[in-house]
Amino acid sequence: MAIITELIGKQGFEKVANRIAEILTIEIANQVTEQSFTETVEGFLERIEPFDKSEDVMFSVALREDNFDGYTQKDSQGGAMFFIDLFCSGYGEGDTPPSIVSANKMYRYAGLIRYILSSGKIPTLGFPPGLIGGKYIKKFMVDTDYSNFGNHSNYDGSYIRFCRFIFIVRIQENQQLWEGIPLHGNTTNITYEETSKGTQLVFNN
Amino acid sequence: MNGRLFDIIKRDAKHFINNGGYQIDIQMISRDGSLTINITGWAVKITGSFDSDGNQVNTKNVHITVDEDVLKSKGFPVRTNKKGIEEVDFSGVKANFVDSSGTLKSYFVREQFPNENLGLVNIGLGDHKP
Repeated sequence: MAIITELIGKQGFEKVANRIAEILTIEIANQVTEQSFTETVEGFLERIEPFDKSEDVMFSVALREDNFDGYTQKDSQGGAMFFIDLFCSGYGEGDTPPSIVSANKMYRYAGLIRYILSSGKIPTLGFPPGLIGGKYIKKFMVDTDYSNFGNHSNYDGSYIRFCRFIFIVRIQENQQLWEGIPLHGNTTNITYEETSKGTQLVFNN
Repeated sequence: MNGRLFDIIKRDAKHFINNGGYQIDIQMISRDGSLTINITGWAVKITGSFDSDGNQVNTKNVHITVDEDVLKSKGFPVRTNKKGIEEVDFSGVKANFVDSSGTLKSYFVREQFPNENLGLVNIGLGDHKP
């Protein structure tokens, strides 16, 4: 027989993963429009399919780990690490070599991701206070051996570049406490010395 | 002008894929769901692949090989222009074919490996429930 009878809803890490992808999709699309960028940018959550040469710019948000501390029986605070992977493809344009085109594209969208996720305008990623305890872009790493994780983009006519952001979010996770068993008849026959008075214990469950 | 041997190779390759006797009926559905076509091509559904160390791994390996010209003749979108250059792109496309159970199974395109000399496209597939 199940002991936990309440319905267990979405946990914080799941809500946050969805929200990161939403925020990046909306904010990057806005920058593309406002600054008249020509790239086609597509956002994904936990994408498994590899980046394809037909694509232009793609990012995918993935939960890497959730490292908890501050434990009590009713909550803990997770340090959730998200990978935000950014892929770009390139081609020579006029006299500009394709390496430069793809690098410029990667720098542009890496910069947008860094700025957006660091912005003080979304300190709790749009959640009400209580869920998010902080968010930090820890670092990002660029694939400077041009291996594209084994896909050998240095041999690739599509000039695919890749970088990975490490984004840490402090997320509060809660669970219900065991419902206490009321103690009845919690009176005492023990009295204070030389009086007829005693102390009644009242439990506030 | 193409070399004569190349044209023969291309013709033969397409023949083997489309109606060389190994072909299987394949249904393809466009990414917006508005177009369904029935074609023939090679379809493979096996278990097993190899990791980067050459060890066999227990994976579902489904792929089809189809003729780009056949798709185009039926009005099926083959290429997109997301980055300023047209590329073969079947992302979001679904493909169905009957496996050994006799059941029509549905698949989601994972990736594509076009041969743009011969005009054939090998498409890697993943499970899909319509």
